Amino acid sequence: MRCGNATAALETIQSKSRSGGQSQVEPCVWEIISHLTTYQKQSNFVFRQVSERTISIPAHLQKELGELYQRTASRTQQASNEHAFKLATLALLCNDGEQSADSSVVETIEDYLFTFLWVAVSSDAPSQQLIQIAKLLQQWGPKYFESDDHGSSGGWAYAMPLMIAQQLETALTHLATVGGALGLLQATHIGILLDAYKIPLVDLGQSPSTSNNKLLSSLLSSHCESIKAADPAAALEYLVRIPDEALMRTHIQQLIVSTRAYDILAGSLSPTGVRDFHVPPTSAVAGQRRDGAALDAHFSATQIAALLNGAAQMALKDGMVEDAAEILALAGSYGDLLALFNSRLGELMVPRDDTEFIRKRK
Amino acid sequence: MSTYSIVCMNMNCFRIVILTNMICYGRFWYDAAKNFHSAYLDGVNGSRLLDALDNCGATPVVQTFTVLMNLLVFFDHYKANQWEEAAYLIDRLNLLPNTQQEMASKISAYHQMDHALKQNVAQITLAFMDCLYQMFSAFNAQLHTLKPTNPEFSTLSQKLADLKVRSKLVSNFARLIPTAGPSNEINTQLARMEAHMV
Repeated sequence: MRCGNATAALETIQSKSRSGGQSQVEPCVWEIISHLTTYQKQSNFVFRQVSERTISIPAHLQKELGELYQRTASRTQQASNEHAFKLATLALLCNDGEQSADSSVVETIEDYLFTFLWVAVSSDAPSQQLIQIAKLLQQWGPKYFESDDHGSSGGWAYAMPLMIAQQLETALTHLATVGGALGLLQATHIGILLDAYKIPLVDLGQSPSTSNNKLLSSLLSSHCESIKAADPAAALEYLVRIPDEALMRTHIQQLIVSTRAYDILAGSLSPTGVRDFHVPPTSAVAGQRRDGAALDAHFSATQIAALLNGAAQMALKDGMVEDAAEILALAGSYGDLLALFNSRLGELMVPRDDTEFIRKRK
Repeated sequence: MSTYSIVCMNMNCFRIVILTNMICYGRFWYDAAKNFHSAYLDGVNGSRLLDALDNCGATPVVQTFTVLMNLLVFFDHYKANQWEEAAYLIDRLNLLPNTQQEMASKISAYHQMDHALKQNVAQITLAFMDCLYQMFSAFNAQLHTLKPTNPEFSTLSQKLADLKVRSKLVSNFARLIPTAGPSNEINTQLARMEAHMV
């Protein structure tokens, strides 16, 4: 049940009953678990969306459960706390968050979060409940969750509760910030996955707006920065996932200029002056093979020419004039290339500081 | 400086011989431009690329490129004191007036020039004038060794007269174009060389 799998819980108690063991499960609990499986259907989880109340227990079962809880609580007070787990479970099924949280069985952060989540999804306003706990989590801050000051969890100690509370933006940002290269990689991949399922990368309680694109773009470009020197082709694989096309193009052009891996990204110039993208696979990623230039896997020849032209302008702006010439040649922008040749040859033809030249024959 | 190659190219119905020498500055661009020319503008591939450039309206850029490549060769000759070769190349490039009648059209052509060319015209004029002056000095010295009855005497005298006329035209042309940079200094030197050729 703690994993949210009511079907598995039901199968367990059924199995125990069939094997002839003495079942400790009260009939009304049995009935409630059976009822919960109707929410789960073919899924592995009983929990669904949190935007609305997902679990509703019939009134008669609630009444029976309430009485059972009172009886168990009474026995527990008289005797020992041997029934503490049972009491806590009943409290949760009764949707009594306070009772369950106060129980001695709730010892860890995970226990607390599970208890809170259960109460949240059983409440009339699950989103508000989650927002409430998210505020608490952010109030406590990362240090509260880390076991040491060195962040040995790689950011996960704080990121996981945040993700449970659906604070996705804060969680991924934290993971990417404090988790080093691995944390950034993990945050980027989680971001890609969530985006693929159209899940907004925002904190629950915030409006989606454009934040989804911004965070994902930021994660992708940051991760690209960290790997581009080792494998420009792999870096490109991340950049092409940037949702904003204009931003994606800018980042790809920056990748071309900063890595200068022209042959890997765009191929080489053939003797006929046409870009030859059938370069041998040179990716540094183990086991990865490419049949041609990396850009050709994602863009048409026209799009690549436009990207290369933009990269050439960027190189010119950065003073990398020689590189700009090479990129223009790859782009097939021979007119621009010749204009660049003209500009440079014109400037270099007669060195302006060569007074020897002017005064040579005085 | 001793190694050179000859590349022939046909551009806009005129044929110019490019003699490419090594230069000590702008080596990357010189080599890159030379390689580009020989790989993509010359030979079998050349016509295809030139057609493509024509189609996208880049013909003036190609023409400027061609002239600049030839001017690099001109300066190589100039620096190697190969005055006649250098002067011959300038004549073929048709940048400076050969006759007084050409003056207006050459000044007009100057104003239509690409900046890459225009910024070098003053230095080109100066170098060309220096070529004329050096040729004049050599012919003049040679003339003084000959008797007037020698058949070569009249030939050399005519050459000296032609050089005088040409130097006058070049000097006038330089004065009529707005030059950037040390134009006064250049005009002074032009005038001095012209004066020495009287």
